[in-house]
Amino acid sequence: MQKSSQNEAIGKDPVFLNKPDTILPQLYLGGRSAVGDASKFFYQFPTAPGDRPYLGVRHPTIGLLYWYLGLLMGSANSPAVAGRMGSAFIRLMQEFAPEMQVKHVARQFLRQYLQPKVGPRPRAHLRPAVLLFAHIDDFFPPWPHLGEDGQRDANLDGRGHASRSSSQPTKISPPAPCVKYCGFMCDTTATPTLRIPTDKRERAVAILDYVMARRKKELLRLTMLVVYGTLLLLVPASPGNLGQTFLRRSCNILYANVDPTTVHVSTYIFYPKMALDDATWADLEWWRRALRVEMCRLARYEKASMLAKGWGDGSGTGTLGTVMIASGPYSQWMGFFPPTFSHSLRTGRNYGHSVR
Amino acid sequence: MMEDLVDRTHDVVRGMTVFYFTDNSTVCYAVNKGASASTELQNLIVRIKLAELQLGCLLEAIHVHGVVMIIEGTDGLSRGVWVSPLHQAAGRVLTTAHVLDPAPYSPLLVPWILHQAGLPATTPVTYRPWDGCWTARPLLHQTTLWYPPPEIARQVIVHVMSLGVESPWGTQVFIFVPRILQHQWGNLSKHVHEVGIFQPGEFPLSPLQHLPIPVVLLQIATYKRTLPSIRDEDMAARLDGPPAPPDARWHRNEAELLRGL
Repeated sequence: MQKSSQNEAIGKDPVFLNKPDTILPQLYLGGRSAVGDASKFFYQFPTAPGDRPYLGVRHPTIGLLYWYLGLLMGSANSPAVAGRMGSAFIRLMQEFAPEMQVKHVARQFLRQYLQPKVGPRPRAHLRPAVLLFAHIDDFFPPWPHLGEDGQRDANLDGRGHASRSSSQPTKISPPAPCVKYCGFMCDTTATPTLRIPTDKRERAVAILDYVMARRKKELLRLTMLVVYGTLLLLVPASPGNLGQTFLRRSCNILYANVDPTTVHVSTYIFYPKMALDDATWADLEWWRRALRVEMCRLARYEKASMLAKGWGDGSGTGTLGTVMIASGPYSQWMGFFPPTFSHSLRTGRNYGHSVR
Repeated sequence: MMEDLVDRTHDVVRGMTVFYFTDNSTVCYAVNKGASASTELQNLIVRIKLAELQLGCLLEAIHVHGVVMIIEGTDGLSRGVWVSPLHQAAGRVLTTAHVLDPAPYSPLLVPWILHQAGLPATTPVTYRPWDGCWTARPLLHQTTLWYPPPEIARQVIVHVMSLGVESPWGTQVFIFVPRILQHQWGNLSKHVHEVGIFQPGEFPLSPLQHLPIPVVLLQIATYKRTLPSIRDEDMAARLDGPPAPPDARWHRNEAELLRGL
């Protein structure tokens, strides 16, 4: 018997979601950030006439296409259409707010250390910019906290309030050095760090405790999938993606019977029981210890302007490569953006008017 | 090399980034990915990662052509580099810096890029310098060309994808980036299409290239809207599956119990 599909008459426009490890290197040392969840974001926009042929449902017998007049939850194209609005919001913010006109975060230290004449030098008059990331309806504006410039900081806070004006009050995280975004804590009190929220971490430890207490018995494959899925979501917060390394053996065992070319995997193959080898148990033990010591991922190491370079053929038969250690002084790379910055800032209230 | 560093008495690389340049692409790929389906390679990766953790450093493996290693000098002595013209090449530090250089831009390359992408040579293309201001207006509804250094390529892709999705059917982006640090800028989105990998000799004006590092041409093409086509596999998936095993409910309950901890 054939089942109907809700997304049969719905297109799939491109959508881009920021990953936590993409955002992390761009955060400011000692900076602040806030999170705003746009209120009823899907329901704020009527669908455009051009979108309607790709956002509908087909009648199963007469084949007639019915169009949705608003974005609906669960359709494949709603995130893309709503994401266009979020993208337009970022563009407007950058156009109207000079301190949000960003450039690149150049790892200037790298080029300057190696050869001062090679890379562009940072210019002293350039100031850091306010960034803005969007994850469909969640907006995340990190900005630098400049304690010595109180007026400017107040203005930046004002911008933060302006961007939160259309957000759901109960889902707003006020400006702070450590906020939760994309499921992780973005902590900028010192070197920007990605942390696992306490509830997620404790839950993962409890799951591992439960499974490892039954180590001598046969395990259900379905329960191991829950363990694997739970830990996989925490990999971005492991240093250097180390968590991925310690999940690979579990993945190999769990998906041993799955043909990688199969498009649709039947859930029934996950019902049999299974056993893990010692190496896989050791990997899970590593995960448990790492979670207990609250592992986190640093955006960069504290001596990030120091370089150690090694050249080697990777075969292990050579001279183990050449390692050159920098001996000069180093300074913390701040990840500053060099924007075109204007000192004639408008207040948050005026900014709100100009956007409207 | 990592275990050799662990054996040293003092922490020489703690808190640092270690760039490991190698011509062994398998090692480079495996280290950057952090996992391998091969058991032996996986065991090696675990050793490397544990050493990285013990050293408190960040390991960045960079794949370079074997000739670059000869020019740099590590692999040069055994290849007779001291009696060859390569002896006159730039110093080791400058060579390392050049590995991370962006590809040089030339307007004469634009027709070649359009040809590689299968587009007419008359397509208007705007060059966007990576060290300029990244505003959105000159990006939307046109074709732009970027030549970022590999370190910046990820930011460029994230930037153009974040803004380009506002109008994907009129916006097209080409990104010309040397093939190093791929784990940073590769696989960020399925809409970033790799047109090809080109050796410096394959495209015009290659003498401007400092080192023989291949270049990757990425394209974020204009999006053409279609409704999904129903494939045979999809049709098969919509059919009722085989009956569940007798203890399926018990399996599901156990999984639910674990999920709810």
